[in-house]
Amino acid sequence: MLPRRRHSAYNLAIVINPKQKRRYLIKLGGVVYVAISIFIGLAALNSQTNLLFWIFGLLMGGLIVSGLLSGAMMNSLLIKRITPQPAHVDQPLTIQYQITNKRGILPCFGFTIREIKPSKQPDWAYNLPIGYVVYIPPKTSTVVNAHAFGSTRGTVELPKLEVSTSFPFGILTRSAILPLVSKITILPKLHPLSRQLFHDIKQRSTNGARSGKHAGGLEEFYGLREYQHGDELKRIDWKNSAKSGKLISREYTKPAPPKLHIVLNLHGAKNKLPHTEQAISFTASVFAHAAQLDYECSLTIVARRNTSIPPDSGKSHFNKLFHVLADLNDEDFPESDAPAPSLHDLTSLTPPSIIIHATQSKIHIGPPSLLNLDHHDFASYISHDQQSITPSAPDLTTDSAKLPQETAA
Amino acid sequence: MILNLAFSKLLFLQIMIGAIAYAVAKQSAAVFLVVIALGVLSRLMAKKHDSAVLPRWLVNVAVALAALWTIREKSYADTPLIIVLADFMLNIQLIKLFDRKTNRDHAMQIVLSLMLVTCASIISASIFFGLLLITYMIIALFTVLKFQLKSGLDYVQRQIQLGIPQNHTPIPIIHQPQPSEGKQFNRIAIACALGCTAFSTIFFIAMPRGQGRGILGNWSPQTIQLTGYDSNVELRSGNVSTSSIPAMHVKAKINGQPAGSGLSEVRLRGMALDTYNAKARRWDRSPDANRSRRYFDMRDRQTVRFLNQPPPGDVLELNVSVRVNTKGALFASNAPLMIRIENHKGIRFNPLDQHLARVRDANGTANYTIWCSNEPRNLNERYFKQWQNLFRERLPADQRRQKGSKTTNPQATYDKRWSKYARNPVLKDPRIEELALQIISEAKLSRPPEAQSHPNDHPIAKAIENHLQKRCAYTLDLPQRGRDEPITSFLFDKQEGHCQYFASAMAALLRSLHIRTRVVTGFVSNEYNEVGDYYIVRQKHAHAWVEVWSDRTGWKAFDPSPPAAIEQLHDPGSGFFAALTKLYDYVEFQWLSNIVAYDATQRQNIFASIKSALDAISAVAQEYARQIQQFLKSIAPSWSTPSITGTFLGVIILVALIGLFFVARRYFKSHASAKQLQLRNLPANQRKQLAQQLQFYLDMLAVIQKLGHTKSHHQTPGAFAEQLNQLNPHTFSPTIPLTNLYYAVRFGQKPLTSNDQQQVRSLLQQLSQATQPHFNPKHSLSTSAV
Repeated sequence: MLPRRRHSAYNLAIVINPKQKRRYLIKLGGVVYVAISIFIGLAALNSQTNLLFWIFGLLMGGLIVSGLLSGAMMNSLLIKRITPQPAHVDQPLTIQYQITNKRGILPCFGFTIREIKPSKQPDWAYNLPIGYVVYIPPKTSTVVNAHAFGSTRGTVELPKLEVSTSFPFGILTRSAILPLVSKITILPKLHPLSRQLFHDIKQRSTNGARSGKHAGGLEEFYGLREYQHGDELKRIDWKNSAKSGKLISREYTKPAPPKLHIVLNLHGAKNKLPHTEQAISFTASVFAHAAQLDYECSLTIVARRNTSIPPDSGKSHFNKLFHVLADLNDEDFPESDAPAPSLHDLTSLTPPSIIIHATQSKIHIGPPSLLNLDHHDFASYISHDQQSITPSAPDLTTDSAKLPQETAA
Repeated sequence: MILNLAFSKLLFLQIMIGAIAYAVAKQSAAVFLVVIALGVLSRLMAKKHDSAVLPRWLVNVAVALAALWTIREKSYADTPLIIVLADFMLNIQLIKLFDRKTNRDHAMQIVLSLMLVTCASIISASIFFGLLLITYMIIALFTVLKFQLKSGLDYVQRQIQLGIPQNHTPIPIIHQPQPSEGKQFNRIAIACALGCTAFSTIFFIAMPRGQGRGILGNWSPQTIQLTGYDSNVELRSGNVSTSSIPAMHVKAKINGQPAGSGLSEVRLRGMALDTYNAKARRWDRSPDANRSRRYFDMRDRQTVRFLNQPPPGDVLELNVSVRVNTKGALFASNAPLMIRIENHKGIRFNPLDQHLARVRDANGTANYTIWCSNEPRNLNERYFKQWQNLFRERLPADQRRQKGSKTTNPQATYDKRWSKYARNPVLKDPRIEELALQIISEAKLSRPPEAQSHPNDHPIAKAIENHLQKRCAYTLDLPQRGRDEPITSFLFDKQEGHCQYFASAMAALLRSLHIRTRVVTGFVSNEYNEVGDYYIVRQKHAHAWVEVWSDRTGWKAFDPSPPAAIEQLHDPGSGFFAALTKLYDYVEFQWLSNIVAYDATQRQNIFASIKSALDAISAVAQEYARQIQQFLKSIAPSWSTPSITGTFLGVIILVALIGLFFVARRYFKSHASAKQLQLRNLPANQRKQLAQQLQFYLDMLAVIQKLGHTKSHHQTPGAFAEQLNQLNPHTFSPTIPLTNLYYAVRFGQKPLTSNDQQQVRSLLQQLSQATQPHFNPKHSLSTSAV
């Protein structure tokens, strides 16, 4: 199994202080302002009109106040990036920042906060996350949301962010670049799938409905146990209760959920190619639908080193599946001259329900009843009609991710 | 949305006030009405605040027409450049009111509005405009601040929308204003306003004056034409303006002491006119008078003496602020001795008629101080000699220019010119001479017609003055006179007119007797402002009178207009409204003197006073330091051997001061808590007790406020706690029992027991732990060095 990381953020906070490197930029509004000021200054000199001297002084005062106030507002801000939540490609990605205004009197107005991408880092979002906060009262914290849409799956580093303000007059823009490091995972894209896919899977499945190994259901008798407060009266086994002299309750088994095992065959594929990405996003989409239909899912990735994730259900399990798919990188793809995988390799854990091939050429592995899918088939299962199952990205947010304080560095 | 709404209203207000200020500066009621009408129309027609009223193409056509109109105004109507520019900017703004409004349009409107007000500032200097300008600046400040927030929010929104994949719904960014936002925004705006005002004051005072004038050409339009006074007298029919607009402010001193209201009137001479053009029916200056003037270059000096030695007698010092266009004329009372004027390139002085005028930069306002003699008879001879000298110096050059002139003797030429100066009869109508002779015979006076000057000249003038005052009526409402000669018509037909007719008739009568007489125009004011200790000279104070020559005493003024009528015309009124008018005029005078007319001298004076104040402070500080040093030296022995009593007393005082500090601190804290808990209406004892017991609730609010949740005034504690628990029950669960306890103590008369206090402490601790973020800034800083 590949070593997979849980991408909890480094979750650092930073205080902007006067010693920090600050930048003052002058933008279009500032250029216009300066041009108007020069014009009025010349008009004042030319006409020697004192009201114009006063207006010119007012404009110069505005320039100075703009620089001083924007600088003062930015000092003593405590900025923290709250653990970024993973998001699927083409789905809204929100990064939250907690900004604390530590000053006792001066409020903050009009702050823009944006992520900065190193020039060498490939694009991972259509536009980098950007957020705006209108007002932060003194001695209070505000959570700011920066929104973006991920364009490429994978885990990316957020090395630094820029906080800037041009309040009050928009003449000078004061900005600070803060080296707050975090990581964020962009999960594979999810497609709406046709109901036909799961119909086909059920038809080909050799696993019938059966009783599970755990108690708690209403199907078959599982065993006896001592009565517990809250048990229904009808479950009391009176005969055994009379024998033992204390109340005994009957327990029944739960039905086993349907199982889905997917084999993602990356043999012969190369990272980031359209077919490969299509296969990975199709796999993720199937898992997303399966999660909605309460499937127990397992995954085998035929890669440089095969990866198997045993069947399970629940948020954390699907979270794990999505992260494994998202983090497939160049190192995981087998060499082009590597031997093709055997059926035994693919079905070592459980009999597969689907084999998804990332290759360009049509391959069929296993018995004819086994569902082999490649990019030719994806289109037929990706649907846009009303009958499709629309994947809502499963809520992968764990409790730890929701609460920043629990993932503190 | 709320931000957008507030900004739209502010911007509209800014545009409207800017446009109204321009209308006021231009003194155009039409512009004012158009601005109001279009502004109201645009608000009524707009369905939403930023929606377009007219289609874009129609707006573009209107803008093109405005541009064409501007070109036409500049090319054909010869309107001053500043007015053309301002009109164009105003038109564009009014058109844009009906256009759709993106942030770019808003920015354009703000800039155009600011430029329009800048143009208006060049045109006008009235205090009403000044008040509008200050109001405008305050609103513009709020508009710009709101615009900054709105444009920032819109920019981020746009950036996010640009990154949204196709067929995905946009992500709206909704700004929900926090309870304290409006208040804090206002505070920041006030801080900005104060900061800008402070810096603008420094710039205003420190920027050099008088340099760079006209480097880009003459932008300023001519200031408003004075209706009362003119540099010549044209005897027109019709009404004469009785405008009360101030033309000048005059502060008077006699021999260096403020004159106060001691002067019966302030008579300011402007122009002396010695030639009457019967065809044009106009009094002018003769070529001889125009020729004999002296030019003083003022670029390297501010003070000019017209006479080398001051004459004996009282000296009247007048500080004059001219506020209207006088075509360069400067006004003086009687004979001027010396003048101080700044920021002007040069002045001309004519010793023949003591006419003073600015040269080159004759348009616009002026501030000057002029010293005049109260005894002009002492000076007439000296002025006369000056004129003689000038006449002789310039005569040969003049003769070379005059073709066919055979005169070669300067003295003879001078004698000939002087013999004719202001003596020839004005009109050839014999009735005038007959009337003059009749008047002097009634007064039992006589005069030989060939005499250059006669001792009876001034008595004759007085007799004619009396005659006109008694026989003719003063009126400002004159009917059309047709082709009649106005002077003869006044004397023999209508016998009514205004001051120019009286002066002209008197000059005609005297000149028919060959008495040297000239008409003088200027101002006569008796309106004294007690608030500001100065005389107000209004346009209706413009006046005309005559000056009559005598070899003994020189020129002497006679005023044939009926004094009662003049007094009635110039009556400043009395009562409450008159006092209010004087107060308003004083404020305006201050505005003009200190803001509008701030010049290099005032700047120099301010710097000098700052320097002297700093020197004085430094001297005082040095003196105090010296005294302290001496005091310490004197008590040095006692410091070295402190007595037990002294030490004890010192400790007691220190302890008492510390105790006093804590008592005061506790009092103020308790007072603030009672106010915050709304306990101020309770009796003092109960209030104090409850304020102490309910402090825990304020502590709770403070903890919650750190997370950005503030209890509104309208919310009850219960509703607030419920709201918090709906938001995050895990974090805010302790607020429920704390609120219940608050209710029990506040309204249930439940005393706070020690168990309760322990519970409160525990709950507050629990709350603060739940709300405190688990990160360590210091650690972060150390691990992520910037």
